[in-house]
Amino acid sequence: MLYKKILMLPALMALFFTQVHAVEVDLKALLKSADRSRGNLQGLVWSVETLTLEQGKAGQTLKFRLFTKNANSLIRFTSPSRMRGQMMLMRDRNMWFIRPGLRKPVAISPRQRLTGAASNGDIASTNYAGDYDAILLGEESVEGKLCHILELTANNKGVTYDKIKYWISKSEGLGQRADYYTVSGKLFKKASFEYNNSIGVDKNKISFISKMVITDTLSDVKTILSFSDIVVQDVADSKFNLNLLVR
Amino acid sequence: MMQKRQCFAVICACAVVIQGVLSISVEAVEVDVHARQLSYLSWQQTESSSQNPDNDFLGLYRYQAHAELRPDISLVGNRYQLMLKPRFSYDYWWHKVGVPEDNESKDDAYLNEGLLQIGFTPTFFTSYGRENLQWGPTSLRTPSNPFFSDNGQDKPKKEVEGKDFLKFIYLPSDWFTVGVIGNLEQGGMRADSSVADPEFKRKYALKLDMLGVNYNASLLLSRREGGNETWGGFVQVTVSDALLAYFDAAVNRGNTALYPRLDPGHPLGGDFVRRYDSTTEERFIGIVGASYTLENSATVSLEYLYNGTGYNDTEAEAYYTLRQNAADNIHHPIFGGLAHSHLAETLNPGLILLRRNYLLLQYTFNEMGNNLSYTFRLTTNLDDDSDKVTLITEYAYNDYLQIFAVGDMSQGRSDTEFSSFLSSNLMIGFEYTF
Repeated sequence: MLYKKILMLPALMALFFTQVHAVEVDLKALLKSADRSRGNLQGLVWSVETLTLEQGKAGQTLKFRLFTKNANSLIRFTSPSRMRGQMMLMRDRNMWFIRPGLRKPVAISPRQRLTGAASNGDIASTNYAGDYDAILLGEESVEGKLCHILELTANNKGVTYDKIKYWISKSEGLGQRADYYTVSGKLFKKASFEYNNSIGVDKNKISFISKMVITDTLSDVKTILSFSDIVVQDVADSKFNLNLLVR
Repeated sequence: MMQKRQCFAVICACAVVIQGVLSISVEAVEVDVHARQLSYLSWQQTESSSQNPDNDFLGLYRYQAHAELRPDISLVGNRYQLMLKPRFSYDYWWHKVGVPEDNESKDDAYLNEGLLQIGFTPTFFTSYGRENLQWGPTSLRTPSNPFFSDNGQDKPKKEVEGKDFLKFIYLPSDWFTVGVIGNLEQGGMRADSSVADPEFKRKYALKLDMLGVNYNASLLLSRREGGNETWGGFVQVTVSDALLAYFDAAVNRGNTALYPRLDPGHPLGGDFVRRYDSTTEERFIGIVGASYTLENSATVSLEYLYNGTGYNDTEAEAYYTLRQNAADNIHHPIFGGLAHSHLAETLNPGLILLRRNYLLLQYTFNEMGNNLSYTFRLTTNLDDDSDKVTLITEYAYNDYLQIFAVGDMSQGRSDTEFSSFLSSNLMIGFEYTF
């Protein structure tokens, strides 16, 4: 009897590790799917409008055209008028702000705020699958959709957030809600996402982000980012090269 | 006059090219035309020093009114980009220091920047035209840039004059760029051009850029015709989401700057010579710095600059002695002309900064979605204990109108770098975009 148990032990261990591995693979795939619907694609040109609400009062609206390719983004501001010609270039964790008249690009950090509760890092392509290690915490419904709850821990120092609690819908694989924490574990930002756009990727139609609402939990400042005019197209690498950016 | 004609000829030629491109091109073209109307009033408090004794050398005015139209035109196609930045300005100066009834005015039209960039393949590009070529992460100066000593950070509302470049850019991969840059003409079509140099010589550079996930770096080798090579480069690292660390440096073999030479037999006690023009002695110029973004999104930067080409204590003492001698003889019937020439040399001896050790501390709040942005900057010359404090504020009144104020204040003895001829300066104006 004992020898049977001993023989079964390696088989049970193999089964256990296979299960763990399967969960890891699923989480990565889940994050990749969620990243894709938030802009991490081979090439995309889209319009973004940001509106900041401070204690319920509407503030500045910014509009810009966003060119993205994998972890690279180029923002060309179109409104308000006084910001025309200004640009922001993001190459992974390298970021620059460019103003007409002052040709020297100014190096900026991902933490620097773009507007209201939105940091520069919030506009850059989302690469949670690459930048974070994930563990599954459980399940919960968000806006009537059953979601996996993932705890994401940064695996490099260059990311905007150290820890994220991320709700991804089980049926669609779309990020529905995110809570952002400091190193000390303090919640300081919350975000919710809507996906009313759709785009064609590899001959398939996928849901694509249409709205992101970021709330600063410490100051009660809310920033709404609306995404439209999404065009899937190859964006040349040269578009993101500082040497070739005619400004 | 000739330069103005050339300027208009270039503008007209470019307009013809734009028209041609628009009419024959079948590909999608993005056209962007916008203009800024910049106007300001400025006031300056002069310092009576040996550089500008009783304002007899520089003839500075206390007040200035400036109006400028800055159209920016760009055409972006799949394979080419065309950019034009013609400028039209009017200046009026009044209340000359020492002669309050004096006034002066000037209008100007010139092409500050304009270039055509063509992509022969997705990885090979060439461009020719006038541009203000800037790079690097530092604020104080950019030692690695052999083409421009002014990086435009001191006077953000004044544009740095473009120079004429031919460039070839090759992208062997997404993370590596090779650039060959030639500064073929000196540019500078402003009536009071600061880049006009009768001794201009062409300069060439090979620039290699590297990019990683959280760093970018550049290595440069440049050479001036008839001169020696200069090595330069910079590295910028995103240490964390809030912290950037950087380094920008150059090693010059010889240089064309002027150094004082005391000579008891000289009527003004000595002269200024290009002592290291034909030598191969290596001098190092470098800036090390870091910037940290606070929770409120403001950024604090600290930079230290070592300028190996700057004057040491002995050279500085000789410099101020010769400057004082020139000031004492500015009205001399025989040596007055020579004294003027010496003061022109002491005003711009060709160094990026006069002395060797500098510190910059900067606090910047510049949130794009916020109506108010400001920069406070303290620059200290550690060798002569003179300081310059700069405050830059901008307020967006509405979507089109921005109001700004830029103020400088210097502190130090009159024989120090930052208190040589201005003790304070204030510029207040507006910028209207349409």
